[in-house]
Amino acid sequence: MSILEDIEQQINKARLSSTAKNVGRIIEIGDGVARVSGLSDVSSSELVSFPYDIFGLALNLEEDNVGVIIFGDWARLKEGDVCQTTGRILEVPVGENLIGRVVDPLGKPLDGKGSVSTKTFYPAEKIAPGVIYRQRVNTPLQTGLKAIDSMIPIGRGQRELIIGDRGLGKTAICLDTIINQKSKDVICIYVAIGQKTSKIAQVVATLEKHRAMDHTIIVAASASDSATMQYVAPYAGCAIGEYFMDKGKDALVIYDDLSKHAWAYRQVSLLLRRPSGREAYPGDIFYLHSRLLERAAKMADKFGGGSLTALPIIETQAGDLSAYIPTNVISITDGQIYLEAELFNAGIRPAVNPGLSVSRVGGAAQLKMMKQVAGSLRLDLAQYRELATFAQFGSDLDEATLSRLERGKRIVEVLKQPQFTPMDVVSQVVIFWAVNNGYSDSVPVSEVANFQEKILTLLATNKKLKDYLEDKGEIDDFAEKELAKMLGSISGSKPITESTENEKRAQKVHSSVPSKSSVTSVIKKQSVSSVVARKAKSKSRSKSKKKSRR
Amino acid sequence: MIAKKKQIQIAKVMLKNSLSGGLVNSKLVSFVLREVISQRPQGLTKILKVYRRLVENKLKKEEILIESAQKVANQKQLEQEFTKNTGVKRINFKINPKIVFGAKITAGDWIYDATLDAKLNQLTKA
Repeated sequence: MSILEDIEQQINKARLSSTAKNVGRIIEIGDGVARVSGLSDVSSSELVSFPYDIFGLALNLEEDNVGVIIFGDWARLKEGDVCQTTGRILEVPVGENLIGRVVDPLGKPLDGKGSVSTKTFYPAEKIAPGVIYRQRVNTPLQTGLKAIDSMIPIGRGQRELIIGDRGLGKTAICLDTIINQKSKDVICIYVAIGQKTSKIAQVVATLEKHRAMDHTIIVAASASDSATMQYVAPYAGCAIGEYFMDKGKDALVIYDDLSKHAWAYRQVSLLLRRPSGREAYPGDIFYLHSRLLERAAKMADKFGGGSLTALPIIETQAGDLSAYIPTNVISITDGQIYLEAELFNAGIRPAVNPGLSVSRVGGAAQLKMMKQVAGSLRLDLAQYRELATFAQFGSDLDEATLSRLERGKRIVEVLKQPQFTPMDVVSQVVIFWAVNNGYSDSVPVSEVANFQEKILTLLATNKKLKDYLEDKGEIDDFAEKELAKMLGSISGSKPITESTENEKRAQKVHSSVPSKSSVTSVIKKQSVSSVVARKAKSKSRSKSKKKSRR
Repeated sequence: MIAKKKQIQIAKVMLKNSLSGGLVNSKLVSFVLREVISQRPQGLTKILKVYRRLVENKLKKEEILIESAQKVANQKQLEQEFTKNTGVKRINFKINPKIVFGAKITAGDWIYDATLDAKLNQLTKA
């Protein structure tokens, strides 16, 4: 085919017709927001094209002008510039090619690894899947963190909030979770909103170091990016996650963090002159986050069975959980992981407060063997915390209380975990089983970490038991015997018998207090004695007062 | 200093009083202007600026601009057609040498482009 024929064919293919454009002119522009006159045909959330290949999003449709937020370098635009509607809504490129890349919210690469070639585009804003498209959360998403997987389990398709003050390890939990998804067929999307560029670079370096970028996409809208970009970033990340969910895969999206997202939206809203409400946030700030988080779902099997798990992060100021945005997001999500400064400073890391943390739907997704060992863990820990504060005031404690305190100390030690060392679920289960059955009771608290290491080394050599637990997913008689045999070789003091330390302890408690448990009895005794003492004191005071009056 | 919202409100009332039969009337415009200037409200310059923009937008909607490379042969017929179909008051014809071939019609904030330039653009995007 000659060149001329080719050209002719191309011309014939092209349908040339007169075009109709709906145009407008910029009346005023500043801080990434433009007011445009004209554009009578523009729809809400429609993309508007400006000169220099700059695009904007029409958000405010008013009587005689349109409020448009601008993506990109708005400083190049000036009053009087002509813009036109595009008939398109904001779309982001999605696809497998994004994996391992760092992109901005519009899908432009930021990592210097060349352009991203994707053919599929997903709308940034989308209505969440309805009830018939979903199924209940039933598969666990292992974070690799003992404190979370045992007490606050997360299921695939769940929305679990991570909340706490700055510098308490919120991002670290998320990074650990991403690292733990290696070879687990979960695509992770980390959305950085309003963060320092240096921190984003650090996150990328950490993930690359642990070879976690092979299953991760980073969507970055740093603090130097416009509020518009920061506003769109989580929706773009969610759209990328939805692509994988629609393909029947499991995706995890982390929004780091939604406090800054709310700030960005507040800025945009105030510049658009929308009426402000509490803390100057606009009226639809709740809908901003609810429509985003509602897109996390576990799809029904006939719709692919994919899932999108959301881990939003909220940064509190001085531990104030009752501020506007934290309460909003707490009410939207299916639970929260609360990180506490006091625990962090006491060296308990991850600084998860088990009392205030909760997972509303994750329990259904937890593995049976984990349920077996972690069932009483949360309660034991809560009791320990209560007893620990109580024990500060007196040294005369009965044996049962002391043993509970000692056990609690070891549980706290066991739940400590260094950063970037996620643990597989079988190892976690074996460690918790050892603690529950008193194998760690004879180990000094400072040696608990070494004790754990020993267990892990033994487990690594006992492939038969590991595989059995992995396959079976529960601790049956055989597994118990094998575990007892394995752990007996570490502690030495523990005989392999059917009666466990727990049972012994229970026997002791029963022998000392026939009706109730030792803890409640101690507290009751204390409370009764204190009440009696108070009454006696008040009586003596009233008597002395009467005397003095006489 | 009165608020911007109030200025816009005043300008809108001025525009309303400048219309007769839904179209901008030049006599009414000059009357309204005289009245407002004589009363000298606060922020007069800004009010007049907004008023100017509103009148400009209104006028744009009332007229159609037809741009072509050469003089259109059947101007009268075209004028009649446009007036009949759109109800606009004025139809302006303009010779734009930048348009090599075809024509471009601007009606309010709509542009109907049938120029060679637009078609070449379509070809490059196709």
